[in-house]
Amino acid sequence: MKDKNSLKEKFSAFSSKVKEGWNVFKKKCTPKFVTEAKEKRENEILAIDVSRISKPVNDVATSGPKKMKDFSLWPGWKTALVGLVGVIFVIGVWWIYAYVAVDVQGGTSWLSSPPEVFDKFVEMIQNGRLRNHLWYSVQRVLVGFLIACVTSIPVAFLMAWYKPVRAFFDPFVQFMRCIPPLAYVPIVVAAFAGGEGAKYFIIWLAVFLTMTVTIYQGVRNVDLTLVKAAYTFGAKDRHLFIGVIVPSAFPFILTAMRLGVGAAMTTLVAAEMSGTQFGLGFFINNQGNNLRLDYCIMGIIVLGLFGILLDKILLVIEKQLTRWK
Amino acid sequence: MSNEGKVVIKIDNVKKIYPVENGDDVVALNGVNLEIKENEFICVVGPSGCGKTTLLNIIGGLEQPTSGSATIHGRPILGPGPDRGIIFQQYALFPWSTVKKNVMYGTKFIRHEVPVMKKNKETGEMEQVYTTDENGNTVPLMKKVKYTKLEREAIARKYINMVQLGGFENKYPKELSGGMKQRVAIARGYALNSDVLLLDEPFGALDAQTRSQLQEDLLRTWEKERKTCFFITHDVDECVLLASRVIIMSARPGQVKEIVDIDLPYPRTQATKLEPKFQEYRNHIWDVVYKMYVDSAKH
Repeated sequence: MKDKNSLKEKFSAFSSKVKEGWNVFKKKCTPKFVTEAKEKRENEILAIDVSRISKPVNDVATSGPKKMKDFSLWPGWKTALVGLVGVIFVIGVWWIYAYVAVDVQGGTSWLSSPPEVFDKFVEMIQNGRLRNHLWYSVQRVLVGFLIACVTSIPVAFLMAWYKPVRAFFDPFVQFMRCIPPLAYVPIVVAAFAGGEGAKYFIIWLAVFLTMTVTIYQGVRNVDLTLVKAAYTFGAKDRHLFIGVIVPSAFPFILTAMRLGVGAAMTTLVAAEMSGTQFGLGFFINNQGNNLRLDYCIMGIIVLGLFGILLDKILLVIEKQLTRWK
Repeated sequence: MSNEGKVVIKIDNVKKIYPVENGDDVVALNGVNLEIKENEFICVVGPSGCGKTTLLNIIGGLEQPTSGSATIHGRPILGPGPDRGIIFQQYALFPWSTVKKNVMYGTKFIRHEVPVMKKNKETGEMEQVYTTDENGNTVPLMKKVKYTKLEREAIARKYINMVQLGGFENKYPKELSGGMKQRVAIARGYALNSDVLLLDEPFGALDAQTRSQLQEDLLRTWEKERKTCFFITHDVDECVLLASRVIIMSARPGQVKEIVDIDLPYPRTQATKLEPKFQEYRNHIWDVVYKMYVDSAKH
């Protein structure tokens, strides 16, 4: 016990010495012109007599518009119309570029035009291949996403509630967050012998990381006065969890699910890069490699629309369940 | 009046020190002694940072004193309990619950005693069961049960009507104004039916108009039920208007500077503020508080 204390004292003495040394080092290493410039600036500020600075001019020209334009009363159809104009604009730019692209760089570049892509879309629907690819991808996304939901919610709650759990998971979560899924695809594929498990795992990992971080923040954000209030009414820890922590973290869970769907969609191509002949991700990758841009673009558009659909479903659920917000 | 009555809460030489890493520890309370008697309305005033809220948290059981003791009815306060309701400045309403559900939450975990009933096999009617106590007297056998949902709803309805929020039962907190939210919080505190009500600057965030209104409402309710109140404020007028006893606390480290018995008869209204006696109390307390403020500003 005594040893422990003396060790502690020694350590604190050592750390204060290090700090002192660092301050001296900083002072010595700061170039003279920096300190001089700082001093000069300080003196200039001190020389200003604030009471003698003249009043601001009431200049209509520089004081901006009288009123901010208010779009809060915009009807839904107007918003949809403007959105449609935006989509048409982007398609227009794409279309024009598809025509002029032939001449860029002396005819070696090209881009499929919207009608070509649409033709492929119709063709793929008619021969049923699109439905087949889509079905594989939907299955993978949903399985990966649902496993991630089931695992990330308890992990995030435990991380927020118990420090040891946080200490245990945090390095892993922070490390993996920085690594693009594309980087570990070969490893996962090898480890799972290229089966369906590999796809589920890659999607699960991406969704799990996104959702865990978001839900964790949500639980940490719980208003402590609500916790105090619940305690004063005689709530026990389990009541507190069900009655206060879960409902107040609930909006974050829904936001995390929406972010998770995004993560699942963006990792789909990586997950289906190898070990399969089916799935939208495989399709996009494969057609891209074969330079079939028409099929490739079509795949990307279907993938994007599918993502929007999932997001909208979650948005409706969110609106319904958190009407108190 | 305030010198009689049973002591409900006793604060005995309570110290609270918050340890600060790499610095001087903050002494929030430095030896506070206080006795709160039954049916008293105590107001605590003092400059900000004098440990008023810390004292309330200790009575409420949300914090433990570093040394000294806090007791309620002679029992040490070990944690929060339904014998002490707390009303917070930030309302602390659950945003996901309606007004009714919020008020009902106050009665969710508490239990009360009801007589044990048994079916008489011959007549087929429900009868009370009796037992003998340690003195040999026949007394009804009682059991502790939680309130039924209907009872809780009835209690909630009573107190929602008391704070004049009838018709707003199914609204969410976001749909209410600040004053209405605080009324809901007060109703929730009352629904607990605790011996003591602890109020932590409940009207601090409200505009002057709403505050006067709620002060009167609180006075009416208190005059009716005479619940022991421990009310924290930084508003000198408010403390004289409401309190039967005012505790003036000094700035850090927090200590009881002076105790003033307010000898103004209840019922009081906003018009009480015009009485010369009110002015006297007000000026006196203001002098003490302001002097402390000036002293602390000098340092």
